[in-house]
Amino acid sequence: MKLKIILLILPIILFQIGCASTDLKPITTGNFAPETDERGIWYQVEEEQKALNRSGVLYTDKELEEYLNETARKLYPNSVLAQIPFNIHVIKNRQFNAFAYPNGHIYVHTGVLACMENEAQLATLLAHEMTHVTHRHAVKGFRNLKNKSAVLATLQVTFGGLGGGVGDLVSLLGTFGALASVYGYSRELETEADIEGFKLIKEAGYDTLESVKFFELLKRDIEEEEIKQAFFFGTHPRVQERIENYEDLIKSDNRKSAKSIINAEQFLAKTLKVKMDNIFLDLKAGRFKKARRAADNRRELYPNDAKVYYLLGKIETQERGDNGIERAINNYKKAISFDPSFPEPYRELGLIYLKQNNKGHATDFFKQYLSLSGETNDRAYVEEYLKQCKEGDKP
Amino acid sequence: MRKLLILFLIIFVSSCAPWVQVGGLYESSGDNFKIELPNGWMKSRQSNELLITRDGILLQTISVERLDIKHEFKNTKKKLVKGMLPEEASEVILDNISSAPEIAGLDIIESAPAKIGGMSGFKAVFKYNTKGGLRYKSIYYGFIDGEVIYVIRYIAAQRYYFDKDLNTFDKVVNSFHIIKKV
Repeated sequence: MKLKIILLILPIILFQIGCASTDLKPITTGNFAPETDERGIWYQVEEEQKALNRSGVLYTDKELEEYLNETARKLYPNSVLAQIPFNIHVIKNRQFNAFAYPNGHIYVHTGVLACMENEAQLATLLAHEMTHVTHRHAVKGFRNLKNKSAVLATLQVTFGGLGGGVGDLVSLLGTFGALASVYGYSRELETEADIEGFKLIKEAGYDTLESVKFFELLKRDIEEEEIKQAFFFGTHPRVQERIENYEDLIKSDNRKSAKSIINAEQFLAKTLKVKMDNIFLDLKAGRFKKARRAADNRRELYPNDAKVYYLLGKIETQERGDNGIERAINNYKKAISFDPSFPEPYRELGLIYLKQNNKGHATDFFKQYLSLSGETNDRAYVEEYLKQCKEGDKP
Repeated sequence: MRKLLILFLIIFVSSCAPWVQVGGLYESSGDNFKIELPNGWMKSRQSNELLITRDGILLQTISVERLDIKHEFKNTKKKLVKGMLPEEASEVILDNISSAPEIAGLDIIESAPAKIGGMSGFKAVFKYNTKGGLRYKSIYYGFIDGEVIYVIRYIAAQRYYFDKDLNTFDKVVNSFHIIKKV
């Protein structure tokens, strides 16, 4: 049904766009009313967005979303927000991506949030994406496409061919979400988003130096990834472009802002959970270096956090195998010392001792794990291990 | 345009292994296993995988895959290691699935030790959403045998199809045997 609607609407949009100009006033100038083709695009975008929201990829953390929206609202006066009510959402995905739909809905991956250190960096990203919306880059970009039907058909094929299963996620974002998140806009429009975004963070009082720091952090993580990511913010040349643009903007900025907000503490408090969840995503994906650095950073900030020691223990055993055992044991024991009611480290210690044939120790830790974990979906394994310990079998 | 169409057809035809109706004993000496296949299902032999379905692969599939343990996974950089505990092997397999960008809402219902053809292995039961918002349920059985891992899986639409063919899958798993033990 959805496909039928899109197939019906798309030729109309394409026809209208064919004759339309790309000289559009930004929404910020007031009295905004979408043009006919723009309304068509918005309609399609809403359909794409519904599918995305239904898919289950969204990361639900109301407090985090509220904080992201609050930060976005600091960047524009109410007069603009009345015309385009921005709405920030989070996608549970470790890859570096953020994109804006032309109707003001902005999606940020957990992977990008995990890279950031403070609110000024968050504001940099949001201001860039919000400029795509206020300056109507989706419709401008679309009007600039020479042969729209051919381009769209090619895009669908190209998305499917993207590596690492990314194509499937990209197709989930729909045509406009994919255009924004994979290809970005033209160099001119992206530069406009940098310039206008820079103005916004400066007007809001944020420390503009943090803009470059954010993209530098992103660049460092991209270089460590080894595998090329498909998304705009995961692509080395596009991030390098951002760094150069923001460096130029800082150099040419003579007026020093009166305040320079960084807001690291509040940012870290609000992103505590998402950052931890993203370390688990990195660990599952076998991105040990990134997971370890994020866990180390967290340990520095929260030296009594049992979960972080548990994570470090997992990283040691999974990355270094037998060479990481001693360090893993220390980390698991620290985790228990900080939170004796946290079950997982007991289980990991039980497994280590079982493999070392130290069945007495293994039995103690497995029993403690079962008593703390309640109804757990891996109970059968642990009961089997206890049986092996009792019978004197080797695992 | 015609050339493009021909090229597309060649790619399409060459990418599809033929589907044939099956039933009874299936023995693969190359992959070193034998198994009883349900009557009336359709079979397709991919490179490392035997795939069967009755109503279509989007509705239900049972597959047997044999992989080298040095195999590189698509979504995780984690590796299988010879001598790994079944649970550890299961974790690598599940991490590869949960790291797939197109999979959402992965919910592990059961993770347990299992015997497959007399070999010590694992069983994992989980649900997930696809990009189209469909809910699937799946069971993976697997074990490491020397340098290879065998995975027997059942994936079906959670509504109606999963329960419908669960007994058939159980029979297939129970019939699985390694021909020559390492």
